[in-house]
Amino acid sequence: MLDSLYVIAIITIWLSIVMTIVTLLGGVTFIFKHLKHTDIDSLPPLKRYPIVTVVVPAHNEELVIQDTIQAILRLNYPQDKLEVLLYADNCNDGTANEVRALMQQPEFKGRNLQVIERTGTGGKAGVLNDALKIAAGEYLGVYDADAAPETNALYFLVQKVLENPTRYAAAFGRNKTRNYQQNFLTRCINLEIVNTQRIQHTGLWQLFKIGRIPGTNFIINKAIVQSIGGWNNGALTEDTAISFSLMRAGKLIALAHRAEAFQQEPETLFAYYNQRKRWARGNYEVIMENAKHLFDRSSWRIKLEVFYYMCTFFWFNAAIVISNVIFIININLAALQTFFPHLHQLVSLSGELSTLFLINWILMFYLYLLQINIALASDYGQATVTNFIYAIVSYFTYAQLFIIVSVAAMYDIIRDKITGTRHTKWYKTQRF
Amino acid sequence: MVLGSLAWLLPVSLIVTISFGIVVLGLSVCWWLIFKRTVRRFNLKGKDDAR
Repeated sequence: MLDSLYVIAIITIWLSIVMTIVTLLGGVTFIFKHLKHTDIDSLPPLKRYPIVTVVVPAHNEELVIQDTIQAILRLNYPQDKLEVLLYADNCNDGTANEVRALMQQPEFKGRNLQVIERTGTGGKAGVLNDALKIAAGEYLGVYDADAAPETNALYFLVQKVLENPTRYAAAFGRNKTRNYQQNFLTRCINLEIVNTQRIQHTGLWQLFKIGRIPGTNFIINKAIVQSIGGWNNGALTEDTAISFSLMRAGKLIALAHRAEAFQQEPETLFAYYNQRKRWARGNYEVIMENAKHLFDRSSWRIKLEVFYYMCTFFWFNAAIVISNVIFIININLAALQTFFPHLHQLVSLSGELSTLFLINWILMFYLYLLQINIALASDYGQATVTNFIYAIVSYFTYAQLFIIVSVAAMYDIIRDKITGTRHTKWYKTQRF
Repeated sequence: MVLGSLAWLLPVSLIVTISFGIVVLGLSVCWWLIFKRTVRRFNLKGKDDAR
């Protein structure tokens, strides 16, 4: 029995190393291929400029909404091809008024911008479904209220989708942390985001042409979204859910790596915990809903995505929790041995095996650092000694938070299944 | 722990671990190449070109 557990443990470690190496190889290839590109000051005109409706769902966002709307209205895109819909969704603050005040400024007078005060249900997905009904654009662009796009973001998104408009149902860009220097937490979140966007997203796109719609900074073909029935109202992670729907429809979500937006990340543990628990729970629900596609005639991309998510959220997570529990029990037993010498450790490895496990752990840790540092090296101003030190420290601190968050999300799901109620509500990420 | 019927585990693990080590070494060289090229470019051309 114990022998089999050792085999499962080592296979789990190998699988996670293989997945990391494969993604990293894809990411590195992508970085090498895109080291040289067109000068940002002499971008060629696009083949055509489709009308884009930019939707901004905002729930009590008076602190950040003006910056975001200003950045959207200043996008490098023909004004007559850009429609902006600001949804003040169930707001009880001055979000709508802040935008109306902005519209009075001479620079923005006459722009195609509507402020819609909404009282409906469905959260962000509900807003997007409402926008789907009235949008004039061929494409819908989505920016969260805290995500200010860089001037050329929309240009790059449209450029990407026009490369293959029938196959590419959507294009997504990169999000950067604008408050990353705030504290230890935001610095760690920044490392995670740089790594996700510069290695995972690029790696999966380079190797498998797999993309995932993020919550913000993307455009999507309106007709295609309508054909798959729109967004899943009330979904906790409407982005993951629609990504799977698009893949099931045989479409691709293309990476427009030069389209950038700057967003605000949680600055307190409380805000971080609630945001990530919602994401984890939403992802669990989407994975469980799509698990059946592992065994049906769905495309290989869906199977790969489901497998990837299942490994990350279920298999590896369970393995980490179990190994941490064993580690803590062993430490306690070792301490108790001082007083009760007859006590034995729960698990003890022979010399060779323990060395092997240790080497594999060191490899995994080294890969973690390598992955982050490759990502940092490819991003302007991020390859610093400070970030290197944060990368080391984050492995033992910030990275471990994922265990707590995912266990809490799983607990919520199981509790709700047993009680037949749904406690997890959309907890709005606090702005600063 | 006595390995018994799992005696094969050790040599196989060694081979797999060494293979991972070689790939990771190659990736480390890639990091150095990317770092050298991007740092030079970021320093020479400024933020806009770096995107």
